[in-house]
Amino acid sequence: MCRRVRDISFTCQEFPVKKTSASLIALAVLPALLAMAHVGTAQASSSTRLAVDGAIIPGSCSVSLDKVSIDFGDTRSSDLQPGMASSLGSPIVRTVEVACSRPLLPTLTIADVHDGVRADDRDFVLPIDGRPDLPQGYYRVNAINARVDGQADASWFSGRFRIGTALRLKPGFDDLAYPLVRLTNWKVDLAVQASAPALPAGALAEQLPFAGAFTIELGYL
Amino acid sequence: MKIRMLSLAAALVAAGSASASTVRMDISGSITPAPCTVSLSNGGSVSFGDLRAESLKADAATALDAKTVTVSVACNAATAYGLQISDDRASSVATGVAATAKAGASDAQAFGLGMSGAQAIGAYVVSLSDGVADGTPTTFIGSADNGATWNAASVLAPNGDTVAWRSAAGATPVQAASSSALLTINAAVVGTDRLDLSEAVDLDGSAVIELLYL
Repeated sequence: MCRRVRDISFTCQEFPVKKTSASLIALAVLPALLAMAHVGTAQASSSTRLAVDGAIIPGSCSVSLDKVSIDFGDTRSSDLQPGMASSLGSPIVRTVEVACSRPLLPTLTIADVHDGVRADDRDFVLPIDGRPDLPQGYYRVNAINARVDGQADASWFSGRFRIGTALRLKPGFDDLAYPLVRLTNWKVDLAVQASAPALPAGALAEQLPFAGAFTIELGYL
Repeated sequence: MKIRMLSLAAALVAAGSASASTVRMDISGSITPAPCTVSLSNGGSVSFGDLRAESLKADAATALDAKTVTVSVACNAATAYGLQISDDRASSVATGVAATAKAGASDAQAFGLGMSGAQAIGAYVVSLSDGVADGTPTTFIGSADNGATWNAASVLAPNGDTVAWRSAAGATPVQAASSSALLTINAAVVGTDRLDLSEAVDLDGSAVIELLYL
């Protein structure tokens, strides 16, 4: 079966016919052959390339914290304004470190262990123990002072959370606008700033312990 | 003696004009299909990113997360066309890996992912879905005999088959000015025991999708 116009011509010129009769046959069948060229055959017209890539990377990373707890201590109720959220002192900084056996693209995802994190911002909840009737405090985790393989680079920062290899805070933050760099060592300081909730005046007469927690999960891009 | 027919036709016309009172001029030409172009979303680039070796099986093939890309055909007018695909890495299809990449797939339907030394790295299969022709959802048909017969198709394989969007009338290619399909790339890599992981192993697949007028 002829596949294309050119193929038909090549095939048909192979006929071992006599010269005189071949001339007549050629005149008779040429238009038909040309017409047939577009019936039931396929012609190449356009093409596009599919490229598939990726890489199998040997090695792995581990994550650690310099200290695994933060205590904001006691805050006097007299330092709080009834009905208004109040900052609980200065941020407390903890350092998270990622160490890799070879250059990789690790990520850190920080997630609140409590349900009910508000999806419209990056506040993590700080509930008051045993008092679900009271509003919750909150805290924020700011990533600062990233060091990648010993090098600090301001270009690695974007806003509060974004670092070159994607420090992802949940919920709702996943900025991948910055280029990614493979690394073997990544240190980031996490500045945790907590705020007491806006409590009614009556609630400030008693001790109100609060507690929160978040996890830091190592992943890879 | 083999005779070049087209040359003979021209020779006869020339001879007639010199010796006869009546000459004949044959006029020929062809109606070409409306120009069409085929394209892939994301520039045809599909990346599986970095795959940590420790996340892959050592002694068996590992299926990777599927990737998708959209193939589109745009014509100036309603036209019947199909697609064929060829594999630039055909020699690197890892034997027996296609079925891991996609359940039920055969090596004949698979594309290569390049070599790591003498070892084929893996294979991938290209599946068709979400067909749309001139805005109407449709399925796909394939032909192994250059359009003489058609059957239902769900993969785009590097076996010379032509795949087309199915017409509403039945198992015939639709004539459409535009059409699209979702291509799902299911890949798998061989067990890492078979790879030299002293360095990163790059996946390197390359295939060409060709548009054919039917």
